[in-house]
Amino acid sequence: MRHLIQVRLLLPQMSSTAKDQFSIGTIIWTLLGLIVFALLTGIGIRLIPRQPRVGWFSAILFGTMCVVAVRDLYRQCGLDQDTIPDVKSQVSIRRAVVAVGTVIAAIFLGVTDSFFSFLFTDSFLRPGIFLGAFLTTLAFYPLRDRNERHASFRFWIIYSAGLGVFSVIISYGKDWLEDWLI
Amino acid sequence: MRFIRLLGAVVIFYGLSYLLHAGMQISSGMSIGRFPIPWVAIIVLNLTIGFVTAVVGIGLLLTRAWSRIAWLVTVTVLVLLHDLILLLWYLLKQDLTGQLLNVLLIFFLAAISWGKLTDESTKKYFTPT
Repeated sequence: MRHLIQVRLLLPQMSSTAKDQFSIGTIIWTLLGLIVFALLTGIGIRLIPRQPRVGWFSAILFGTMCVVAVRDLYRQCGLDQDTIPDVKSQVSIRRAVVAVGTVIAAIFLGVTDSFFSFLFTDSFLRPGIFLGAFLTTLAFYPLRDRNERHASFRFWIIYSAGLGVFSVIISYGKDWLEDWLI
Repeated sequence: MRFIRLLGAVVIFYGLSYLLHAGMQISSGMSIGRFPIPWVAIIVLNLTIGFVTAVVGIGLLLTRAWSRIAWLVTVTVLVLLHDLILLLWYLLKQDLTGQLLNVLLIFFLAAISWGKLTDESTKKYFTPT
């Protein structure tokens, strides 16, 4: 019982220590989140004249998330101010290129769905997008960082399938936005 | 140090917004089914600005010595480029609001960058690679 209490007391300290270190990856993810929230806020504002309830709700919600992201960014930029952190240990060009490449491919395939469907005789729209994103991500497998924790083929299959689903969601989201905005 | 990192974050955000804009232009071009040459030129310009500023922003975030000079050069080129676009918009009698905002934003970013990044107290944080 005492051991359990000690573990419970230690856990928040450990997580806060890990969280409070300057990390380039966290900053970049926060920035990506900020740009998505800003985009959604803009869409919400554009929706106000046509759908006031949905427009105001999304503008307030995503606007607040933008403010929270900016505040978090300000906090993260102030961490380890007096010491120059060892960024070399945090940065892996290969890992960054693979991650950015696979995500960009998934977004690209999702956004350009009708174009690729047109190339393939206007058929297999969503399964085609899934397969395209899945195979493109799978093609990055030999380029992965072998020292990474998640370097197994099984993990890569799940990651590829996840990005395939993400691509299909983007494709549906794009159609939905076009119906609402145009 | 916080200022340099914040500047780096702003620069990356600026670059990402250009990349997003280029992505939207590519998407709308594909949905229409054609890409006129001036449009391709604008997309390439937006992609280049986006890519360069994102890379320089990452350099600023990591306080690399090359990124300080690279950003000062880039921001100066961007001010000149946006002034040129504003002039072009004025001559073509287009709506100037968006371009004026662009010029103001980049001008303030340039003023802050030149004011702080040329200061000796800020220079000491940049580590040579």
